[in-house]
Amino acid sequence: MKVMPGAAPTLLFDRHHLAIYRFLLRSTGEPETAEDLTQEVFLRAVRSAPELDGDPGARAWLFRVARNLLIDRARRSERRPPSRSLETAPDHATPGSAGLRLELERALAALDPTDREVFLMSQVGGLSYAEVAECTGSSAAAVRSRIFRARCRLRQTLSGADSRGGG
Amino acid sequence: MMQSEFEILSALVDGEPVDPAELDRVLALPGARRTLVELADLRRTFAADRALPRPDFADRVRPTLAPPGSRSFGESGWRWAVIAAAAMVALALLLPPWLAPAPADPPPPPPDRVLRFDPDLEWTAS
Repeated sequence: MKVMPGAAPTLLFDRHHLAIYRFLLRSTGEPETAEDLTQEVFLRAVRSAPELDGDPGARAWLFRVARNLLIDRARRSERRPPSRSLETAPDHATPGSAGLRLELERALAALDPTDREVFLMSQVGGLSYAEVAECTGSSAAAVRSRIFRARCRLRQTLSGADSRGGG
Repeated sequence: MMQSEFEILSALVDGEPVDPAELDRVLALPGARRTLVELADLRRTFAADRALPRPDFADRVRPTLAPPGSRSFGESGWRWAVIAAAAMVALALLLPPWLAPAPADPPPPPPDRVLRFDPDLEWTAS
């Protein structure tokens, strides 16, 4: 793992925690879980790489940790009843109508899990295709294809919702 | 469903590098303009995600992120070692006399007179 000299972990937190939180929120659909996992991401950053700083690689590193936490959580949740679904989870502050938000969440929930993960890292987390590829252990070309496929599916789902909503 | 050839337009709206020649070819396809607009709109929708954690979240997390070596006196465990040492010193100073350890015996004073004893002398005779 690359370790970079520099800023305090709190600076790293201030810089990236909202992107990590939003990615985790849209992945889990649970605001409290997203907060807990966000905190865990940065605690691991402190323990594993105390000198990790604002290097461009730091963001990808944090998202990789977040992804690993989601994988661990998914494994654990296989052994317990599901909590709130991605479709019904509220969040603390997202502008826009509740109807639109719900449609977006439903559309996201309908995606293939890997496509959704890649899409959220890019569109909500703000990672470049190269960074997403680094996090997920794939190629930038594969990321490009997955994001396009996710968009096709989202457009299909949302336009279906529009036509239902419009009568 | 969008044509797979429009993948390059998806990358374009994300600001990813694309091949200009391929872009030129794809933009000439029927439906390319409409697809580009739809992709841009979809990107705008998700990029507008402004979900926030609870207001006190950052204030709760920041104190937990200090590396172990740089924690302040108040946060670290050695504070308790210093407090314990200070308490022991204070206890020793305030200990009641009957509980304090007895001082060592003082050395004997130097002799100011020396008596000599002679075993052959009849000391009872005057």
